[in-house]
Amino acid sequence: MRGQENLIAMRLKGKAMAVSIGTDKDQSLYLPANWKSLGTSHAFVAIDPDEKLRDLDLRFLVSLRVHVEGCDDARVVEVFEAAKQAGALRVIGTVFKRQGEEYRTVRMLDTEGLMEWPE
Amino acid sequence: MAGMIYEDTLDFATYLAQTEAKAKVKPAAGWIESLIEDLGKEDTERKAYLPWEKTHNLFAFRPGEVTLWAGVNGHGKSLMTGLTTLSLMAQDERSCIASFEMKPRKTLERMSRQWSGQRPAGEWMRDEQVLATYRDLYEQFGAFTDKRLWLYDQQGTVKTDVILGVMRYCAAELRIRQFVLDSLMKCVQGEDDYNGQKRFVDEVTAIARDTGMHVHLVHHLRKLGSESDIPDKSDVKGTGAISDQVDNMLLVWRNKKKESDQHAGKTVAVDEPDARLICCKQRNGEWEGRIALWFDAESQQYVPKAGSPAMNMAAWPHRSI
Repeated sequence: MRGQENLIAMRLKGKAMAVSIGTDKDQSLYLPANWKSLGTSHAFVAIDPDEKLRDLDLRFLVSLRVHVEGCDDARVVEVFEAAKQAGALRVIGTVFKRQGEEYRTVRMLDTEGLMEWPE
Repeated sequence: MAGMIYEDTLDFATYLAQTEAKAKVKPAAGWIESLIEDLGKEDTERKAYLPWEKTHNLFAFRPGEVTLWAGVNGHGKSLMTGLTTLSLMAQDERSCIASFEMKPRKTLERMSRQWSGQRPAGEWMRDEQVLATYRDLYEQFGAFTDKRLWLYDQQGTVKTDVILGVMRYCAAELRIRQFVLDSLMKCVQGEDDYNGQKRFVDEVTAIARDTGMHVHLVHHLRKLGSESDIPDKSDVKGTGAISDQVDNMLLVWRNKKKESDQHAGKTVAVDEPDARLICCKQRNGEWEGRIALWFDAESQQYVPKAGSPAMNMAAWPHRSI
């Protein structure tokens, strides 16, 4: 897992922001770890496919809005559940399917049920 | 999703303190389960290796680690890291060199010589055909560097924040996987600023860990008692925190005694190495020890056996040309 340190440091200073968790292989290669300096609206955290979730400390997600995304349906669900367990305020999951250079959304999950798709 | 930064609704520091024990004190069974799950699984971690095939089952550069390359002035640290960078490029590792002691043009001239195995064209060359051959070599080397090598053009000292920013940029935007920083002392104020050195290495290890980029940090050793003394980790200049924090430590040692004996016309054993690369720390590997190397003057390469010709640095694994 990478990228959470900046978010933890920010929360220790009394600030918070939504977080996006990438679950695909080599996510760290295209998710900017220095999201803070890039001025994006979400923190980015990468969790590699072979990381065991029970070994990860996900407490930094408590009370945050979390978006989990990736191409492996089972892994997205697993991380979605872990974020929920960690006390996230709301978790949205998006499963993509790669078609050539494009990514197509094939499934969405939402702890509030509003964005569940397909129904 | 809520946008941007807002006031946290939770006292996060208190929450962390209150949940610390529950989150961190776990039964051993969980880890044992994990060990059992991994039994028989192939090691999928993407590693990179030193240029010499004989070292591949001994030492590896793992993602998110920092390797300290240390040596006494004039013992060939830059030649060794230059050759290693060429090898990493051949392993399809996107690499960046930040050398504050050598201009990019000079760095590339030396690397092109190591890559081609031939001395670069100099003013003494006037033959058009020879020049055309070298022009062709440079063009081939240029093609080899495409999407594989970047250089940070800054000489002298550099502000700590600036170089850390450059490293983060390289990892995030250029997807650099191997970053060579030459050298540590150019990034910290003063040789006796031990706290500054500790802080800097701490930041570098955090960047490596956060981004998965492997950082090669070049540093100096104290001058040894005699030319034939072989260094160890206690000879690293500055604070001991440098050795403590890095993951791997490679010491570059040149056999100056053999060189001076040769110059004095004395007989020297051919199998006596010209240099040694001494691994005195490998946090995530078991091996520590010495790698014997021989110097090929024409190509400026360190080769794995006495009398070996230069290696083909364009193809991986590297075999003799």
